Amino acid sequence: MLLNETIDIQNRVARYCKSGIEEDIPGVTKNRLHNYRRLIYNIVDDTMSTAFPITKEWLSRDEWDMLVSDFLANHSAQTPQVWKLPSEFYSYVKNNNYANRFKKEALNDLLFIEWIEIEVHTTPDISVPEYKADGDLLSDKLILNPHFRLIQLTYPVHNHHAGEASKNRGNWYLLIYRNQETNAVHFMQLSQLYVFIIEQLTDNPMSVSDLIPLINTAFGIDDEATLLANLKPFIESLAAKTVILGYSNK
Amino acid sequence: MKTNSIGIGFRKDFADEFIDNSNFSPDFVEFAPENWVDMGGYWKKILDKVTEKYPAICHGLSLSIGSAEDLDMVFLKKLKKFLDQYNIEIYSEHLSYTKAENAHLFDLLPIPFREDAVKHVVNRIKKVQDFLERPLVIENVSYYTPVAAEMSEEEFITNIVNESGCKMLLDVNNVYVNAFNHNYDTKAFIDSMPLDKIAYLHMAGHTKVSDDLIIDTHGQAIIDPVYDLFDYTVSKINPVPVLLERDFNIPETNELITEMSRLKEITTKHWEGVKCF
Repeated sequence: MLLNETIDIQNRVARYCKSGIEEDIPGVTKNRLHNYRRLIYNIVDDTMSTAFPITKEWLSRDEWDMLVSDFLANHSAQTPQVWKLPSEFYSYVKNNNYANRFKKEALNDLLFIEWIEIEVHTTPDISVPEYKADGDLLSDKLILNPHFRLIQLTYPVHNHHAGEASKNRGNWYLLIYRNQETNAVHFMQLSQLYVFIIEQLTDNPMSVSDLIPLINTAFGIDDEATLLANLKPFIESLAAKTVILGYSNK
Repeated sequence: MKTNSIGIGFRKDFADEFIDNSNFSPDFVEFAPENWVDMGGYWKKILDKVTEKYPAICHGLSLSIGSAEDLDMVFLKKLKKFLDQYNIEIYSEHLSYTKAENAHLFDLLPIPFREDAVKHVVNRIKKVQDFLERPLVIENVSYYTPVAAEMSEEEFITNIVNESGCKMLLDVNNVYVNAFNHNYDTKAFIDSMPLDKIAYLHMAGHTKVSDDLIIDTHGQAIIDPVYDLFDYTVSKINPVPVLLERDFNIPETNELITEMSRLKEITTKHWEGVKCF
Protein backbone atom coordinates (compact mmCIF):
# COMPACT_ATOMS: atom_id res chain seq x y z
CA MET A 1 0.00 0.00 0.00
CA LEU A 2 1.11 3.48 -0.74
CA LEU A 3 1.35 5.76 2.28
CA ASN A 4 -1.29 8.48 2.39
CA GLU A 5 1.47 11.05 2.04
CA THR A 6 2.67 9.48 -1.23
CA ILE A 7 -0.89 9.22 -2.55
CA ASP A 8 -1.44 12.87 -1.70
CA ILE A 9 1.75 13.88 -3.53
CA GLN A 10 0.77 11.87 -6.62
CA ASN A 11 -2.71 13.42 -6.57
CA ARG A 12 -1.29 16.93 -6.29
CA VAL A 13 0.89 16.34 -9.35
CA ALA A 14 -2.11 15.02 -11.27
CA ARG A 15 -4.35 17.90 -10.16
CA TYR A 16 -1.78 20.43 -11.29
CA CYS A 17 -1.46 18.68 -14.66
CA LYS A 18 -5.22 18.79 -15.13
CA SER A 19 -5.93 22.33 -13.96
CA GLY A 20 -2.66 24.21 -14.34
CA ILE A 21 -3.26 25.64 -10.87
CA GLU A 22 -0.10 25.57 -8.75
CA GLU A 23 0.03 22.93 -6.00
CA ASP A 24 2.46 22.64 -3.13
CA ILE A 25 4.47 19.59 -4.18
CA PRO A 26 7.62 18.62 -2.28
CA GLY A 27 10.92 17.76 -3.92
CA VAL A 28 10.31 18.97 -7.45
CA THR A 29 12.84 20.78 -9.60
CA LYS A 30 11.88 24.41 -10.19
CA ASN A 31 10.21 25.13 -13.54
CA ARG A 32 10.06 21.50 -14.62
CA LEU A 33 6.62 20.24 -13.61
CA HIS A 34 4.86 22.42 -16.17
CA ASN A 35 6.31 20.19 -18.91
CA TYR A 36 3.93 17.42 -17.81
CA ARG A 37 0.98 19.81 -17.85
CA ARG A 38 1.96 20.93 -21.38
CA LEU A 39 2.45 17.36 -22.65
CA ILE A 40 -0.90 16.18 -21.27
CA TYR A 41 -2.72 19.24 -22.59
CA ASN A 42 -1.21 18.65 -26.04
CA ILE A 43 -2.25 14.98 -26.01
CA VAL A 44 -5.85 15.91 -25.22
CA ASP A 45 -5.87 18.82 -27.68
CA ASP A 46 -4.36 16.70 -30.49
CA THR A 47 -6.78 13.85 -29.82
CA MET A 48 -9.81 16.14 -29.96
CA SER A 49 -8.49 18.09 -32.96
CA THR A 50 -8.12 14.83 -34.87
CA ALA A 51 -11.53 13.52 -33.81
CA PHE A 52 -13.48 16.76 -34.33
CA PRO A 53 -11.83 18.66 -37.20
CA ILE A 54 -15.08 20.24 -38.43
CA THR A 55 -16.10 21.38 -34.97
CA LYS A 56 -12.66 22.86 -34.37
CA GLU A 57 -12.83 24.76 -37.63
CA TRP A 58 -16.29 26.10 -36.81
CA LEU A 59 -15.50 27.32 -33.30
CA SER A 60 -13.30 30.30 -32.57
CA ARG A 61 -9.83 29.58 -31.22
CA ASP A 62 -10.91 30.84 -27.76
CA GLU A 63 -13.99 28.62 -27.75
CA TRP A 64 -12.00 25.54 -28.76
CA ASP A 65 -9.30 26.20 -26.21
CA MET A 66 -11.93 26.68 -23.52
CA LEU A 67 -13.53 23.31 -24.32
CA VAL A 68 -10.20 21.46 -24.20
CA SER A 69 -9.04 23.28 -21.10
CA ASP A 70 -12.30 22.85 -19.19
CA PHE A 71 -12.57 19.20 -20.22
CA LEU A 72 -9.07 18.44 -18.99
CA ALA A 73 -9.58 20.35 -15.75
CA ASN A 74 -13.08 19.21 -14.83
CA HIS A 75 -13.60 15.80 -16.37
CA SER A 76 -12.17 12.56 -14.99
CA ALA A 77 -11.26 10.53 -18.06
CA GLN A 78 -12.55 6.99 -17.61
CA THR A 79 -11.16 5.22 -20.63
CA PRO A 80 -7.55 3.98 -20.59
CA GLN A 81 -7.63 4.19 -24.40
CA VAL A 82 -7.03 7.73 -25.60
CA TRP A 83 -8.69 7.13 -28.99
CA LYS A 84 -11.99 6.58 -27.15
CA LEU A 85 -11.67 9.83 -25.20
CA PRO A 86 -13.55 11.90 -27.83
CA SER A 87 -16.72 10.10 -26.77
CA GLU A 88 -16.26 11.44 -23.24
CA PHE A 89 -15.45 14.88 -24.64
CA TYR A 90 -18.72 14.93 -26.59
CA SER A 91 -20.69 13.96 -23.46
CA TYR A 92 -18.87 16.55 -21.36
CA VAL A 93 -19.59 19.37 -23.82
CA LYS A 94 -23.23 18.34 -24.18
CA ASN A 95 -23.86 17.88 -20.46
CA ASN A 96 -22.32 21.24 -19.61
CA ASN A 97 -24.37 23.13 -22.17
CA TYR A 98 -21.57 24.83 -24.09
CA ALA A 99 -23.90 25.01 -27.10
CA ASN A 100 -25.99 27.59 -25.25
CA ARG A 101 -22.99 29.35 -23.76
CA PHE A 102 -21.42 29.78 -27.19
CA LYS A 103 -24.82 30.41 -28.84
CA LYS A 104 -24.00 27.62 -31.27
CA GLU A 105 -27.07 25.42 -31.20
CA ALA A 106 -25.71 22.76 -33.56
CA LEU A 107 -22.57 22.15 -31.49
CA ASN A 108 -23.81 18.96 -29.82
CA ASP A 109 -25.05 17.43 -33.06
CA LEU A 110 -21.81 18.25 -34.84
CA LEU A 111 -19.66 16.67 -32.13
CA PHE A 112 -22.00 13.69 -32.04
CA ILE A 113 -21.86 13.00 -35.76
CA GLU A 114 -18.06 13.38 -35.86
CA TRP A 115 -17.74 10.92 -32.97
CA ILE A 116 -20.22 8.43 -34.46
CA GLU A 117 -18.20 8.40 -37.68
CA ILE A 118 -15.17 7.27 -35.64
CA GLU A 119 -17.24 4.81 -33.65
CA VAL A 120 -18.64 3.14 -36.77
CA HIS A 121 -15.22 3.10 -38.44
CA THR A 122 -13.59 1.39 -35.45
CA THR A 123 -16.42 -0.66 -33.99
CA PRO A 124 -15.29 -4.24 -33.36
CA ASP A 125 -16.05 -6.65 -36.18
CA ILE A 126 -19.36 -8.43 -35.65
CA SER A 127 -19.97 -11.78 -37.26
CA VAL A 128 -23.02 -12.05 -39.50
CA PRO A 129 -25.27 -15.04 -40.08
CA GLU A 130 -24.76 -17.04 -43.24
CA TYR A 131 -26.28 -15.37 -46.31
CA LYS A 132 -26.36 -15.63 -50.10
CA ALA A 133 -25.74 -12.78 -52.50
CA ASP A 134 -28.93 -13.32 -54.50
CA GLY A 135 -32.39 -14.13 -53.31
CA ASP A 136 -36.07 -13.42 -53.46
CA LEU A 137 -36.88 -9.94 -52.22
CA LEU A 138 -40.35 -10.88 -51.07
CA SER A 139 -39.79 -14.21 -49.39
CA ASP A 140 -36.12 -14.35 -48.28
CA LYS A 141 -34.92 -12.76 -45.08
CA LEU A 142 -32.78 -9.65 -45.53
CA ILE A 143 -29.43 -9.83 -43.72
CA LEU A 144 -28.10 -6.50 -42.47
CA ASN A 145 -24.49 -5.43 -42.22
CA PRO A 146 -24.25 -4.99 -38.44
CA HIS A 147 -21.66 -2.17 -38.60
CA PHE A 148 -23.95 0.85 -38.50
CA ARG A 149 -25.68 3.34 -36.23
CA LEU A 150 -29.06 4.97 -36.67
CA ILE A 151 -29.06 8.43 -35.19
CA GLN A 152 -31.42 11.34 -34.87
CA LEU A 153 -30.17 14.92 -35.13
CA THR A 154 -31.90 18.19 -34.29
CA TYR A 155 -29.85 20.12 -36.85
CA PRO A 156 -28.80 18.88 -40.32
CA VAL A 157 -25.04 19.13 -39.73
CA HIS A 158 -24.51 16.15 -42.04
CA ASN A 159 -25.24 18.22 -45.15
CA HIS A 160 -25.02 21.85 -44.03
CA HIS A 161 -22.32 24.01 -42.51
CA ALA A 162 -23.02 23.96 -38.78
CA GLY A 163 -23.85 27.68 -38.73
CA GLU A 164 -26.47 27.22 -41.45
CA ALA A 165 -27.72 23.98 -39.91
CA SER A 166 -28.57 25.89 -36.73
CA LYS A 167 -31.39 27.61 -38.65
CA ASN A 168 -32.99 24.29 -39.64
CA ARG A 169 -34.19 22.77 -36.41
CA GLY A 170 -36.14 19.57 -36.94
CA ASN A 171 -35.90 15.79 -36.84
CA TRP A 172 -33.17 14.44 -39.07
CA TYR A 173 -32.56 10.72 -39.26
CA LEU A 174 -29.28 9.28 -40.41
CA LEU A 175 -27.89 5.88 -41.12
CA ILE A 176 -24.14 5.86 -40.61
CA TYR A 177 -22.64 2.62 -41.87
CA ARG A 178 -19.33 0.95 -42.61
CA ASN A 179 -19.03 -0.46 -46.12
CA GLN A 180 -18.40 -4.16 -45.71
CA GLU A 181 -15.88 -4.27 -48.55
CA THR A 182 -13.97 -0.99 -48.30
CA ASN A 183 -14.44 -0.32 -44.55
CA ALA A 184 -15.16 3.32 -45.41
CA VAL A 185 -17.88 5.09 -43.42
CA HIS A 186 -20.85 6.68 -45.22
CA PHE A 187 -23.94 8.66 -44.24
CA MET A 188 -27.46 8.23 -45.57
CA GLN A 189 -30.37 10.48 -44.64
CA LEU A 190 -33.57 8.50 -44.05
CA SER A 191 -37.26 9.10 -43.58
CA GLN A 192 -38.97 7.78 -40.45
CA LEU A 193 -40.43 4.92 -42.50
CA TYR A 194 -37.01 3.72 -43.59
CA VAL A 195 -35.65 4.10 -40.06
CA PHE A 196 -38.48 1.85 -38.92
CA ILE A 197 -37.61 -0.75 -41.55
CA ILE A 198 -33.94 -0.86 -40.57
CA GLU A 199 -34.88 -1.08 -36.90
CA GLN A 200 -37.13 -4.06 -37.64
CA LEU A 201 -34.41 -5.79 -39.64
CA THR A 202 -31.91 -5.14 -36.85
CA ASP A 203 -34.15 -6.73 -34.26
CA ASN A 204 -34.91 -9.76 -36.38
CA PRO A 205 -33.93 -10.56 -40.00
CA MET A 206 -37.13 -10.79 -42.03
CA SER A 207 -38.42 -10.65 -45.57
CA VAL A 208 -40.24 -7.77 -47.24
CA SER A 209 -43.45 -9.83 -46.99
CA ASP A 210 -42.93 -9.98 -43.23
CA LEU A 211 -42.27 -6.24 -43.10
CA ILE A 212 -45.38 -5.10 -44.91
CA PRO A 213 -47.94 -5.88 -42.16
CA LEU A 214 -45.64 -4.25 -39.58
CA ILE A 215 -45.46 -1.11 -41.71
CA ASN A 216 -49.23 -1.17 -42.13
CA THR A 217 -49.67 -1.26 -38.37
CA ALA A 218 -47.09 1.40 -37.58
CA PHE A 219 -47.81 3.87 -40.38
CA GLY A 220 -51.30 2.96 -41.58
CA ILE A 221 -50.10 2.37 -45.14
CA ASP A 222 -52.35 -0.26 -46.61
CA ASP A 223 -51.63 0.27 -50.31
CA GLU A 224 -49.36 -2.73 -50.68
CA ALA A 225 -48.55 -2.18 -54.34
CA THR A 226 -47.33 1.39 -53.80
CA LEU A 227 -45.42 0.35 -50.72
CA LEU A 228 -43.68 -2.46 -52.61
CA ALA A 229 -42.86 -0.12 -55.46
CA ASN A 230 -41.11 2.18 -52.98
CA LEU A 231 -39.46 -0.51 -50.92
CA LYS A 232 -37.84 -2.30 -53.86
CA PRO A 233 -35.48 0.52 -54.91
CA PHE A 234 -34.75 1.31 -51.25
CA ILE A 235 -33.76 -2.28 -50.50
CA GLU A 236 -31.72 -2.46 -53.71
CA SER A 237 -29.96 0.75 -52.79
CA LEU A 238 -29.13 -0.65 -49.33
CA ALA A 239 -27.77 -3.80 -50.96
CA ALA A 240 -25.60 -1.77 -53.34
CA LYS A 241 -24.17 0.12 -50.35
CA THR A 242 -23.57 -3.18 -48.44
CA VAL A 243 -26.00 -2.08 -45.72
CA ILE A 244 -27.92 -5.20 -46.71
CA LEU A 245 -25.41 -7.96 -47.26
CA GLY A 246 -27.69 -10.52 -48.82
CA TYR A 247 -30.51 -12.99 -48.32
CA SER A 248 -31.23 -16.01 -46.22
CA ASN A 249 -34.05 -18.54 -46.37
CA LYS A 250 -33.15 -20.21 -43.09
CA MET B 1 11.82 -13.79 -30.90
CA LYS B 2 15.48 -13.92 -31.97
CA THR B 3 17.76 -12.27 -29.46
CA ASN B 4 19.93 -10.24 -31.81
CA SER B 5 17.01 -8.72 -33.65
CA ILE B 6 16.10 -5.13 -34.42
CA GLY B 7 12.46 -4.12 -34.42
CA ILE B 8 10.51 -0.92 -34.77
CA GLY B 9 7.34 0.53 -33.30
CA PHE B 10 4.33 -0.13 -35.51
CA ARG B 11 2.45 3.15 -36.00
CA LYS B 12 -0.59 3.98 -38.11
CA ASP B 13 1.29 6.95 -39.60
CA PHE B 14 3.46 4.62 -41.67
CA ALA B 15 1.46 1.39 -41.49
CA ASP B 16 1.57 0.79 -45.25
CA GLU B 17 5.35 0.53 -45.19
CA PHE B 18 5.14 -2.52 -42.95
CA ILE B 19 2.98 -4.31 -45.49
CA ASP B 20 4.01 -3.00 -48.89
CA ASN B 21 7.66 -1.90 -48.71
CA SER B 22 9.87 -4.90 -49.47
CA ASN B 23 13.00 -2.96 -48.46
CA PHE B 24 11.59 -2.36 -45.01
CA SER B 25 11.95 -5.57 -43.03
CA PRO B 26 12.23 -5.12 -39.27
CA ASP B 27 12.85 -8.33 -37.34
CA PHE B 28 9.81 -7.62 -35.17
CA VAL B 29 7.30 -4.91 -34.33
CA GLU B 30 6.03 -3.38 -31.13
CA PHE B 31 2.72 -1.63 -30.56
CA ALA B 32 0.61 -0.29 -27.70
CA PRO B 33 -2.37 -2.57 -26.99
CA GLU B 34 -4.38 0.46 -25.84
CA ASN B 35 -4.36 1.69 -29.43
CA TRP B 36 -5.74 -1.57 -30.82
CA VAL B 37 -7.92 -3.34 -28.24
CA ASP B 38 -11.61 -3.14 -29.36
CA MET B 39 -10.57 -1.91 -32.81
CA GLY B 40 -12.44 -3.37 -35.76
CA GLY B 41 -12.76 -2.60 -39.45
CA TYR B 42 -9.93 -1.21 -41.56
CA TRP B 43 -7.34 -0.91 -38.82
CA LYS B 44 -7.95 -4.37 -37.43
CA LYS B 45 -7.31 -5.81 -40.88
CA ILE B 46 -4.05 -3.86 -41.06
CA LEU B 47 -2.98 -5.07 -37.61
CA ASP B 48 -3.85 -8.65 -38.58
CA LYS B 49 -1.67 -8.37 -41.68
CA VAL B 50 1.24 -6.88 -39.74
CA THR B 51 1.12 -9.47 -36.98
CA GLU B 52 0.94 -12.25 -39.55
CA LYS B 53 4.09 -10.89 -41.17
CA TYR B 54 6.17 -9.96 -38.10
CA PRO B 55 6.70 -11.27 -34.56
CA ALA B 56 5.21 -8.74 -32.14
CA ILE B 57 5.78 -7.29 -28.69
CA CYS B 58 3.18 -5.20 -26.85
CA HIS B 59 4.17 -2.06 -24.97
CA GLY B 60 1.42 -0.69 -22.78
CA LEU B 61 0.56 2.92 -21.96
CA SER B 62 -2.21 3.03 -19.38
CA LEU B 63 -1.69 0.20 -16.90
CA SER B 64 -0.57 2.85 -14.41
CA ILE B 65 1.46 0.44 -12.33
CA GLY B 66 2.40 3.19 -9.86
CA SER B 67 -1.13 4.44 -9.14
CA ALA B 68 -2.90 4.37 -5.85
CA GLU B 69 -5.96 3.46 -7.92
CA ASP B 70 -7.09 -0.15 -8.15
CA LEU B 71 -5.91 -2.02 -11.23
CA ASP B 72 -8.45 -1.69 -14.03
CA MET B 73 -9.64 -5.29 -14.20
CA VAL B 74 -12.05 -4.61 -17.06
CA PHE B 75 -9.19 -3.40 -19.21
CA LEU B 76 -6.86 -6.17 -17.99
CA LYS B 77 -9.40 -8.79 -19.09
CA LYS B 78 -9.57 -7.25 -22.54
CA LEU B 79 -5.79 -6.99 -22.61
CA LYS B 80 -5.32 -10.65 -21.74
CA LYS B 81 -7.69 -11.72 -24.48
CA PHE B 82 -5.90 -9.44 -26.93
CA LEU B 83 -2.42 -10.73 -25.99
CA ASP B 84 -3.65 -14.30 -26.35
CA GLN B 85 -5.34 -13.57 -29.67
CA TYR B 86 -2.14 -12.17 -31.18
CA ASN B 87 0.21 -14.66 -29.45
CA ILE B 88 2.08 -11.87 -27.67
CA GLU B 89 4.74 -13.29 -25.37
CA ILE B 90 6.39 -10.06 -24.25
CA TYR B 91 4.23 -7.36 -22.68
CA SER B 92 5.99 -4.34 -21.25
CA GLU B 93 4.83 -1.25 -19.38
CA HIS B 94 6.26 1.95 -17.99
CA LEU B 95 7.45 2.42 -14.43
CA SER B 96 5.18 5.40 -13.92
CA TYR B 97 1.60 6.30 -13.15
CA THR B 98 -0.96 7.63 -15.60
CA LYS B 99 -4.07 7.71 -13.43
CA ALA B 100 -4.91 9.55 -10.22
CA GLU B 101 -8.13 10.50 -8.44
CA ASN B 102 -10.10 8.32 -10.84
CA ALA B 103 -8.86 10.17 -13.94
CA HIS B 104 -6.63 8.90 -16.71
CA LEU B 105 -4.02 11.45 -17.79
CA PHE B 106 -2.43 9.70 -20.81
CA ASP B 107 1.13 10.66 -19.95
CA LEU B 108 3.81 9.04 -17.84
CA LEU B 109 3.98 10.78 -14.48
CA PRO B 110 6.98 10.18 -12.21
CA ILE B 111 6.38 7.91 -9.23
CA PRO B 112 8.01 9.27 -6.06
CA PHE B 113 11.18 7.24 -5.48
CA ARG B 114 10.13 5.97 -2.05
CA GLU B 115 10.13 2.67 -0.22
CA ASP B 116 6.32 2.46 0.05
CA ALA B 117 6.10 3.02 -3.71
CA VAL B 118 8.58 0.17 -4.28
CA LYS B 119 6.44 -2.21 -2.22
CA HIS B 120 3.25 -1.00 -3.88
CA VAL B 121 4.59 -1.40 -7.42
CA VAL B 122 6.12 -4.81 -6.64
CA ASN B 123 2.76 -5.99 -5.34
CA ARG B 124 0.94 -4.73 -8.42
CA ILE B 125 3.47 -6.22 -10.84
CA LYS B 126 2.91 -9.62 -9.24
CA LYS B 127 -0.86 -9.22 -9.50
CA VAL B 128 -0.65 -8.27 -13.17
CA GLN B 129 1.71 -11.14 -13.97
CA ASP B 130 -0.55 -13.62 -12.20
CA PHE B 131 -3.63 -12.34 -13.98
CA LEU B 132 -2.09 -12.14 -17.45
CA GLU B 133 -0.24 -15.44 -16.98
CA ARG B 134 2.85 -13.97 -18.59
CA PRO B 135 5.80 -11.93 -17.34
CA LEU B 136 5.47 -8.18 -17.12
CA VAL B 137 8.49 -6.29 -18.39
CA ILE B 138 9.03 -2.90 -16.75
CA GLU B 139 10.63 0.07 -18.49
CA ASN B 140 12.69 2.86 -16.95
CA VAL B 141 10.96 6.10 -17.96
CA SER B 142 12.28 9.53 -18.72
CA TYR B 143 11.29 12.13 -16.14
CA TYR B 144 11.65 15.87 -15.98
CA THR B 145 11.60 16.36 -12.25
CA PRO B 146 11.89 14.03 -9.30
CA VAL B 147 8.94 14.19 -6.92
CA ALA B 148 9.49 13.85 -3.17
CA ALA B 149 12.28 11.33 -3.75
CA GLU B 150 13.78 9.46 -0.80
CA MET B 151 16.08 7.26 -2.83
CA SER B 152 17.89 7.43 -6.16
CA GLU B 153 16.29 6.41 -9.43
CA GLU B 154 18.64 3.45 -9.82
CA GLU B 155 17.82 2.18 -6.31
CA PHE B 156 14.12 2.55 -7.08
CA ILE B 157 14.29 0.61 -10.34
CA THR B 158 16.67 -2.07 -9.08
CA ASN B 159 14.64 -2.72 -5.93
CA ILE B 160 11.44 -3.09 -7.92
CA VAL B 161 12.96 -5.43 -10.50
CA ASN B 162 14.72 -7.55 -7.88
CA GLU B 163 11.82 -7.73 -5.43
CA SER B 164 9.14 -8.42 -8.03
CA GLY B 165 11.15 -10.84 -10.13
CA CYS B 166 10.01 -9.04 -13.25
CA LYS B 167 12.15 -8.43 -16.33
CA MET B 168 13.31 -5.01 -17.40
CA LEU B 169 12.96 -3.07 -20.63
CA LEU B 170 15.99 -0.79 -20.57
CA ASP B 171 15.40 2.36 -22.57
CA VAL B 172 18.88 3.63 -23.38
CA ASN B 173 17.63 6.98 -24.65
CA ASN B 174 15.72 7.50 -21.39
CA VAL B 175 18.95 6.93 -19.47
CA TYR B 176 20.63 9.58 -21.61
CA VAL B 177 17.69 12.01 -21.23
CA ASN B 178 17.53 11.56 -17.45
CA ALA B 179 21.29 11.81 -17.04
CA PHE B 180 21.24 15.11 -18.94
CA ASN B 181 18.21 16.48 -17.11
CA HIS B 182 19.36 15.45 -13.64
CA ASN B 183 23.14 15.59 -14.00
CA TYR B 184 24.31 12.07 -13.55
CA ASP B 185 26.74 9.75 -15.28
CA THR B 186 25.13 7.62 -17.97
CA LYS B 187 27.57 4.70 -17.85
CA ALA B 188 27.51 4.51 -14.06
CA PHE B 189 23.73 4.40 -14.27
CA ILE B 190 23.82 1.58 -16.81
CA ASP B 191 26.29 -0.31 -14.62
CA SER B 192 23.91 0.00 -11.67
CA MET B 193 20.96 -1.55 -13.53
CA PRO B 194 20.00 -5.23 -13.07
CA LEU B 195 21.59 -6.09 -16.42
CA ASP B 196 20.92 -9.81 -16.10
CA LYS B 197 17.19 -9.02 -16.06
CA ILE B 198 17.02 -7.14 -19.35
CA ALA B 199 14.31 -8.53 -21.67
CA TYR B 200 14.86 -6.02 -24.45
CA LEU B 201 16.15 -2.55 -25.21
CA HIS B 202 14.55 0.64 -26.48
CA MET B 203 16.33 3.24 -28.57
CA ALA B 204 14.87 6.56 -29.70
CA GLY B 205 15.51 10.17 -30.53
CA HIS B 206 14.66 13.11 -28.30
CA THR B 207 14.29 16.89 -28.43
CA LYS B 208 16.49 19.32 -26.54
CA VAL B 209 14.16 22.17 -25.58
CA SER B 210 16.57 24.30 -23.52
CA ASP B 211 20.15 24.33 -22.27
CA ASP B 212 19.25 22.11 -19.34
CA LEU B 213 16.23 20.10 -20.53
CA ILE B 214 15.62 17.30 -23.00
CA ILE B 215 12.10 16.00 -23.70
CA ASP B 216 11.74 12.36 -24.70
CA THR B 217 9.70 12.97 -27.86
CA HIS B 218 10.52 9.97 -30.08
CA GLY B 219 10.32 12.58 -32.82
CA GLN B 220 13.94 12.88 -33.98
CA ALA B 221 16.72 10.64 -35.20
CA ILE B 222 18.94 9.02 -32.59
CA ILE B 223 21.97 11.21 -31.83
CA ASP B 224 25.55 9.93 -31.69
CA PRO B 225 25.99 10.12 -27.89
CA VAL B 226 22.95 7.85 -27.50
CA TYR B 227 24.43 5.41 -30.03
CA ASP B 228 27.63 5.50 -27.94
CA LEU B 229 25.69 4.71 -24.78
CA PHE B 230 23.88 1.94 -26.64
CA ASP B 231 27.24 0.50 -27.71
CA TYR B 232 28.37 0.57 -24.09
CA THR B 233 25.13 -1.05 -22.88
CA VAL B 234 25.21 -3.78 -25.50
CA SER B 235 28.80 -4.61 -24.51
CA LYS B 236 27.56 -5.29 -20.98
CA ILE B 237 24.59 -7.56 -21.61
CA ASN B 238 23.56 -10.79 -23.26
CA PRO B 239 21.87 -10.61 -26.65
CA VAL B 240 18.29 -9.30 -26.46
CA PRO B 241 15.89 -7.77 -28.99
CA VAL B 242 16.29 -4.04 -29.68
CA LEU B 243 13.41 -1.75 -30.58
CA LEU B 244 13.61 1.57 -32.42
CA GLU B 245 10.85 3.95 -31.32
CA ARG B 246 9.66 6.63 -33.70
CA ASP B 247 6.27 8.14 -32.89
CA PHE B 248 6.27 11.63 -34.39
CA ASN B 249 7.80 13.56 -37.25
CA ILE B 250 8.08 10.30 -39.19
CA PRO B 251 10.93 10.56 -41.73
CA GLU B 252 11.39 8.79 -45.07
CA THR B 253 11.46 5.06 -44.48
CA ASN B 254 15.05 4.85 -45.70
CA GLU B 255 16.11 6.93 -42.72
CA LEU B 256 14.48 4.43 -40.37
CA ILE B 257 16.14 1.58 -42.23
CA THR B 258 19.50 3.32 -41.81
CA GLU B 259 18.91 3.73 -38.07
CA MET B 260 17.98 0.07 -37.69
CA SER B 261 21.05 -0.95 -39.69
CA ARG B 262 23.29 1.08 -37.43
CA LEU B 263 21.76 -0.55 -34.36
CA LYS B 264 22.28 -3.96 -35.94
CA GLU B 265 25.95 -3.18 -36.67
CA ILE B 266 26.50 -2.42 -33.01
CA THR B 267 24.68 -5.47 -31.70
CA THR B 268 26.39 -7.74 -34.19
CA LYS B 269 29.80 -6.34 -33.21
CA HIS B 270 29.21 -7.35 -29.59
CA TRP B 271 26.88 -10.30 -29.85
CA GLU B 272 27.88 -12.27 -32.90
CA GLY B 273 28.79 -15.75 -31.71
CA VAL B 274 27.68 -15.00 -28.16
CA LYS B 275 25.56 -17.70 -26.56
CA CYS B 276 22.90 -16.71 -24.08
CA PHE B 277 23.30 -18.04 -20.58
